[in-house]
Amino acid sequence: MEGDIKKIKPLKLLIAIVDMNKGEKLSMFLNDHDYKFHFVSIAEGTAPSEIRSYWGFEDTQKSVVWALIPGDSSKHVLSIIKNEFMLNRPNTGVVFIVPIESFADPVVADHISKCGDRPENKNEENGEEKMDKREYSLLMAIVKKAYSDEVMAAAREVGAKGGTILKARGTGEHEITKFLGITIEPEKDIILILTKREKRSNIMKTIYEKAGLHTEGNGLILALPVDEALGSFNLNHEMVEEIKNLQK
Amino acid sequence: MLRNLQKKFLDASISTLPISLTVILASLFFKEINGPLYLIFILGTILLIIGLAIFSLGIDMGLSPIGKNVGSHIVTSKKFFLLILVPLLLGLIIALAEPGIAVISGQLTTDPSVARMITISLASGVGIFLLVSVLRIFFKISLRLVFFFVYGLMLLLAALTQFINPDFVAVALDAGGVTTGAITVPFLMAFTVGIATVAKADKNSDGDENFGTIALCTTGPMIIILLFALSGRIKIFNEPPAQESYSGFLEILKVFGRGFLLYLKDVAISIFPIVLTFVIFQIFALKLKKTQVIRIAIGLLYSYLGLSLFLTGVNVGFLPIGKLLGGLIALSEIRWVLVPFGALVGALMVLAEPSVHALTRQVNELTSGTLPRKLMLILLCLGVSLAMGISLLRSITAISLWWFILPIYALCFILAFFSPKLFTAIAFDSGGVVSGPMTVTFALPFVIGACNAIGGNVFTDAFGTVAMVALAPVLIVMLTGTVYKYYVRKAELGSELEQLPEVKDTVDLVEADATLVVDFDEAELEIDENDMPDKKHQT
Repeated sequence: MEGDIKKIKPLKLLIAIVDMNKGEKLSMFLNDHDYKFHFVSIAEGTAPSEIRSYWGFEDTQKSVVWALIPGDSSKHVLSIIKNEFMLNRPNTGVVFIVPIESFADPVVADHISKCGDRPENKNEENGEEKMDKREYSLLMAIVKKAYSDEVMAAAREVGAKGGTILKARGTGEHEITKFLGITIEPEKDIILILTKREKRSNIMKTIYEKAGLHTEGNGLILALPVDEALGSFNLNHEMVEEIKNLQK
Repeated sequence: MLRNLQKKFLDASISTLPISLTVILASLFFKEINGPLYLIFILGTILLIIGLAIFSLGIDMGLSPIGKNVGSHIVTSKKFFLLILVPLLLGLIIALAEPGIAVISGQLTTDPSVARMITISLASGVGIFLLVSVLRIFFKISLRLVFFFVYGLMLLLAALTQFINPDFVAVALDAGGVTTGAITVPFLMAFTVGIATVAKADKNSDGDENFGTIALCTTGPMIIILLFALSGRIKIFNEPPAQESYSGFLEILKVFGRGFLLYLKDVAISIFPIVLTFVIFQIFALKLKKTQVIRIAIGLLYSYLGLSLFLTGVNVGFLPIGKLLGGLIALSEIRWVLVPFGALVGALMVLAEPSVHALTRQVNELTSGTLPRKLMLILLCLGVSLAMGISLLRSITAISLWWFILPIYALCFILAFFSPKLFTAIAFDSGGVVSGPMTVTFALPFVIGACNAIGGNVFTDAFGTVAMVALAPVLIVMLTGTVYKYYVRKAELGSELEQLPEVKDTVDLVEADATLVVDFDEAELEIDENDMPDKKHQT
């Protein structure tokens, strides 16, 4: 055991992007279900089109909840969140799960892998279960502040429905400078776009053309694997209409 | 669809209706308040809701982005003269364009040349203190230290004035709240954040570098007026109260129309410096993309229309009934009701204050929700409620303002040692934020009305209301900060004992089981025209 890299039960990172006022509710909900390791940050949602974003009627503040969960209960967590927060309705938010490759503390890792309530049906959810091919990808574009518009415009062109913008600061060595002895860190936008995997390459390419390193946006674009995802992002237009009709 | 707009209107209604309903319910007890007044008040409430909703959208889209962009630009440009000149000039022109300043200097002298001098001095005061705040943030000087110095100076001058020219103390302390209007406050708050975001915070900061500007900028005018009072060159002239009475519906609409035109002009003047700043910075420095410029322009338009509607609603609709109601309750048999009623009005009124929403939003964003909107609103309500209670007590009993100002300042100074730095900074800012148009055009007339009816001295007993409204929330927020720190410490101690006793200082990396990494084709990561592996999934 000592010296070797230890194998643990897999952990996963659950990322939920919900309306601002739901963020706290979601973290309480996770607490209630005994998932104790989660963090909340604030982000901005984007409007569904550029023209509509001019009027500012649809931009919304979002809460992003990052939760560490045991790998074998990911389906369970998704389903309870889906039921509680009705994420199958349009415009309610998205939840997805990203695998964690390594964790720097076996004690904590062990602790996390045991937390949370379990699904009743054990057979269906064991860690060794062979997963289907991943259906979704999480695109992440890191650009100079204020270039998120370019990124979103490019992404929309090729079929992305929406994105979430996180505020950040560049702390890379080539980026920070000094002025009167004070360190200056340029502002950055991180845009998260959850998409079907087959659209991924296309969107990445388009974003790169419009806001990549060779442009003023100076963007880095990368994709993370997403094990599972649910929410309103994958509803196409007809489905939204259908749901609306049903609600009437 | 339009969710943000819906939300803004919902927020605005929730903010405005409680105070409106309270006022209407209270008015029902008095025959003197008749049909047309109710009609005016209800129309005013509608304008208030529409104005508040649109203005708050305008803050988010126009005023805040400009403030943040300009603020971060003067740091990232790395030009020393920009860092000095921009805050000085910005403070100066913003203050000059604030209609409140002209009103104050008009009240203090009849000589137009002296009035002009007072106006310019007041505006320079704002400019200098904006510079102080910017330099404080940039060089990471402790806000506590700056506050001690600035507020100490202000209190000292006020004490001197008390002996030489006592009428001025309350007027001067009120001036701070008047000079930072509804346009200035959100803009300066965003400007501060813009600077603080790019100038890297030091390790022992807890976010306090994002606040403090509003507090300092309100102190500038106070100090300037006190200096004028000490020089003996000014005296107070009572404005003749404009008594208007209207009956027909058409006449009422006309009054609103006239008011709206007046505030369209006023707001145009006060938003002009910000538009100018943006245009200059956009052409020479910022060079934002077209989409953003369009959004900011629309945001400025919202701010302009929204605030004009809001001010029309509050001035035409709220001011007359406020003044009348204060006087009527004071003359009734149950005069003491003024104090609890004032406290209630104070608590509800602050919700309708436009800058309050900018503050709570900013606080929520910067603390990532540690200090949620609701808590912040409750604290401000409590603070203003306390302030209004005290103000009405003073208007009835003529207790000196000093009995309240001194202990509260003293307590704030002591608490500054215990409250977390972030809370202290937010606390002092919130004072300048809550003393906005609602306070000046509704709360102050209410207290003046009560004071007049009783026959008190308006200058010493009714003025000072704005100062109290700007001071009490400071105390409440700092008290909360102190309590918060106590609980956080307790919780930290508790969790250390309970959890994870065997965390080691050397780390074993742990790997997820390799079998779980699903077929992850590395070729797919490359962005290559020729290679489109994703097509495989589709077919």
